[in-house]
Amino acid sequence: MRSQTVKYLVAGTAAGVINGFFGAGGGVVLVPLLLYWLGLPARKAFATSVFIIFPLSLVSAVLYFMGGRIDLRQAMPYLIGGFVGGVLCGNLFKKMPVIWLRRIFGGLLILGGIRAVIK
Amino acid sequence: MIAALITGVLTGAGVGGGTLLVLYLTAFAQVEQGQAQGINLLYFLICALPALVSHFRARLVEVRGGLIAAASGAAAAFFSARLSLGVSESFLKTGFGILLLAVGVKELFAKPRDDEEE
Repeated sequence: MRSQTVKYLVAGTAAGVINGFFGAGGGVVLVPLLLYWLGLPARKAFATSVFIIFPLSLVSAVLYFMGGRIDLRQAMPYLIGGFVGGVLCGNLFKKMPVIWLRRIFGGLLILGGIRAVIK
Repeated sequence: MIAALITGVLTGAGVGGGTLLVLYLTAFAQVEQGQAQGINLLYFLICALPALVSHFRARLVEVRGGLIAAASGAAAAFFSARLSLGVSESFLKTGFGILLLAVGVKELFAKPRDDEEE
C-alpha cells in the first residue's frame, strides 16, 4: 500500500475517534495532519477536512440520535444560524486571513478548556 | 442563532467552529455536554453542506485521499460514538476540556505557512 494511502487511513481514523467521542473536534486533529503530514496547501487542507468529516458526523449523528443525545427542537435555532454561516463561509473563504482565524480560535479554546477542566 | 452563524463561518472554513459551538452551548446556553455534542453534529452537517459545494467548485477538495480517510474515519466514528454514549457527563466534559486546551495552545502559537497570509 502506498504511504500516502496509509497516512490518509490513519488521519481519517484519528478524526473519527475524536468526532465520535466528542461530537466535535475532528477537524482540529485532521487539519494539522493534512497540512504537515500529508503536505496539502492550507486552503486545500481546510476544504478537504470538511469533506472527510461530513460522513463521520453523519455516522456519529445517527448513533447519537439513537442514543437520545439529539433534541431536534433544541437544535433548530443553531441549525438555521449554522446554515447561513456556512453559505457566508463559502463566499468569504478566499478572503479570510487564515493565520488570524487560527490565533483567535486558539485563544477562545484555551479560555473554554480552562473553564471545562476547572468546573 | 448569532453564535451559530459566526461558528458556521469557521466550521465551513474547517477551523473548528464546532468545538466553539459545543463550548458556547455548555458555557452560556446551559446545555448538557452530551446534548451539546449531538446538536453540534447535526449543525455541522447543515453548515458544511453549502461550504462543501463552494470548495468543490473552487477545486479545493483532495477527493481520492479524502475518500480513503472518510472510509476509515466513519468506521472509527461508529465505535467511538458508541463508546461515548456509555460514559458519564463529567468524564466527557473533562476530556473535552483537555482537548480544547491542547488545541488552543497549538493554534494560538501557530506560525503562518508560506501559503497562509497574515
